Amino acid sequence: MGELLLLILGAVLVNNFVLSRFLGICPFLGVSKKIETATGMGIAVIFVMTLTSMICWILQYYVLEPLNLGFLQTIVFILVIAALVQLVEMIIQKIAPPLYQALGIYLPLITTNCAVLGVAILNVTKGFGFVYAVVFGFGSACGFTLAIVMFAGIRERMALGGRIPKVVDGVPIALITTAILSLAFLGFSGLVK
Amino acid sequence: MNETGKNSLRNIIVLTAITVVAAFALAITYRVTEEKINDSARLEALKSVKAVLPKDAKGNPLYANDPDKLAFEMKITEDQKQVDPILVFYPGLSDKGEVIGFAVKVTSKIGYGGDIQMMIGMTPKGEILDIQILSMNETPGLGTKVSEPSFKDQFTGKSLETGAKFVLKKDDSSNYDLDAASGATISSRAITYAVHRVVTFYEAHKSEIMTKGSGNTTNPVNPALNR
Amino acid sequence: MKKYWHELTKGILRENPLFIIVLGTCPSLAITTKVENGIGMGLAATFVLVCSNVFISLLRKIIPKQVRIPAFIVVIAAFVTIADLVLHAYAYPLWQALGLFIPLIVVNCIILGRAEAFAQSNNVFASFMDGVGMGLGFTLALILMSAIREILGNGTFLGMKVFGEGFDPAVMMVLPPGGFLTLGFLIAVVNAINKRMKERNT
Repeated sequence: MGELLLLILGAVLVNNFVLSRFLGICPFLGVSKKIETATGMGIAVIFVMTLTSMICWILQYYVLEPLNLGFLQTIVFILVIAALVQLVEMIIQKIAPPLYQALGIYLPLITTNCAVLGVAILNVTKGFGFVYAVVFGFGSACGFTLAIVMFAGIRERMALGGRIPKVVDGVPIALITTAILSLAFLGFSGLVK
Repeated sequence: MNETGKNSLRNIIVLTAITVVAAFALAITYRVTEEKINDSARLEALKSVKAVLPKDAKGNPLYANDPDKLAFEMKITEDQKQVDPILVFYPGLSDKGEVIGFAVKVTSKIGYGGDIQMMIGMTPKGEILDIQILSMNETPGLGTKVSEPSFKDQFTGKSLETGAKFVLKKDDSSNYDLDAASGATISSRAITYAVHRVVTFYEAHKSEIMTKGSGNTTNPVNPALNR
Repeated sequence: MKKYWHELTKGILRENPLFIIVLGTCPSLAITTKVENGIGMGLAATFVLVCSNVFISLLRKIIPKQVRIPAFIVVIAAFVTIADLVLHAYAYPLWQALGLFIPLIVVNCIILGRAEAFAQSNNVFASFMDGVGMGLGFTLALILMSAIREILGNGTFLGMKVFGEGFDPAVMMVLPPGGFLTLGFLIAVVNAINKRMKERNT
């Protein structure tokens, strides 16, 4: 149990998917303008990434490897993700239409979110067992959500107050702010071996 | 079949056809590259073995065999957590079948960022020839300094036989023979401890290791394989 | 002919995929710690982009609109896997350095983006030029980023020492914060240059 908690802690703080591993940058930059939308996106991603970890792990060890089809990993994983995202889209459209509107194009874009495919592949390269893989998927998604919500908070503040020079407005200042966030998170290194 | 039915069927057919063609193309590519892929990991490991075993003045390896084909493992039986108990020995043999050196793969578990995997080259007398860091997760620019010659080369030529202690100045300023890399005490300690472990293990089990290393004479020794 | 030249060059400056359209940020930030990695990733991504553009353009009349995204994804994923296998077999150190980000080329928005925005509605040769141009622009952007990070963060360029012994590199540049900083800075510079050029043209 303790090891699983350490795994989550490591995934959220020490090797944060966005600030440390550079996975999930596009939605991170795109959906972080308001805290509400960021939270909604984060929850959707947690759902997708946890389910992806489960399904891709099972496919890898019960279908791909026994049949010596390891080289089909990329195709199979990304198709699974595309299908899962479609599913999540339909669910959100049914149960939370305003969120569906707010997320707009970024919902189907979860398919191309490096974090989702990334976690599926990382689970295999790290040789995780099923439980570890699912926990890692869940923890990494939480890390993504933490980063994106934190960032939305900062951006909302910046939009209210600061006078940002036109040249750096938009993506550049977002990236520079992320650099500072990432620097702060570097302080967590060594926390979990 | 109505319009939507025909459409759905067409969608499924086209998508399936593309997927099947893709899978086919990949299977062919995999067949073509499979052997090279399996070889590449092995060759990469062999490179570090070659780097630490005895070489002549021009840098050509002096051994005449395929060290990884004769590799064997030994286990540290004492209870200790600083080094992974499995040590892998890669013997280098002359063309007459005599042991001219060992490359030993050892994993330190006390690096700052986790495991540090190393390849240590030593002569049959237990003298250190060279050290290669295979993988590490140390702080870039600080802990990673242990892979630089200024730190590593301190070990070359040391052996228990000639009285080396393998102790860092930081750990015993009155009785030391090694300097830690500046700003990298923990990483330096990890390396030093691992090297010390290996040489003491070798000293204690020398005859067994030498016997295993020269192997039985039915093992093929291929003088042409000096990659 | 002029049209094809336009497709080729637009990817380098006017519509540079990384600096202007801001796509493909994940690999750009992750692997640009060394110039040789930047070149390797750029060429691999260009290979996939060109091949997928050409194939999707060839098949554009056959692929039904409703399943076009999954169809594109399968084609792209196939070429990514080919690139992965070839690199693994013939360029092992580069394969190790690029690691996770080779299969992640499949979700590099540049490639899916060009398929959607261009290849599915243009002929094969134009799509080919578009792929080459965008790929080249991406590669040049990667080289620029890795050059800055490697020189400042490691004191080397392509592994060769640039400064003398006295140079103490800003290690942060090759760590995550340095990546974000470099990209943000470069995009700001490109924005400024673009603004200047637009003002000059009006």
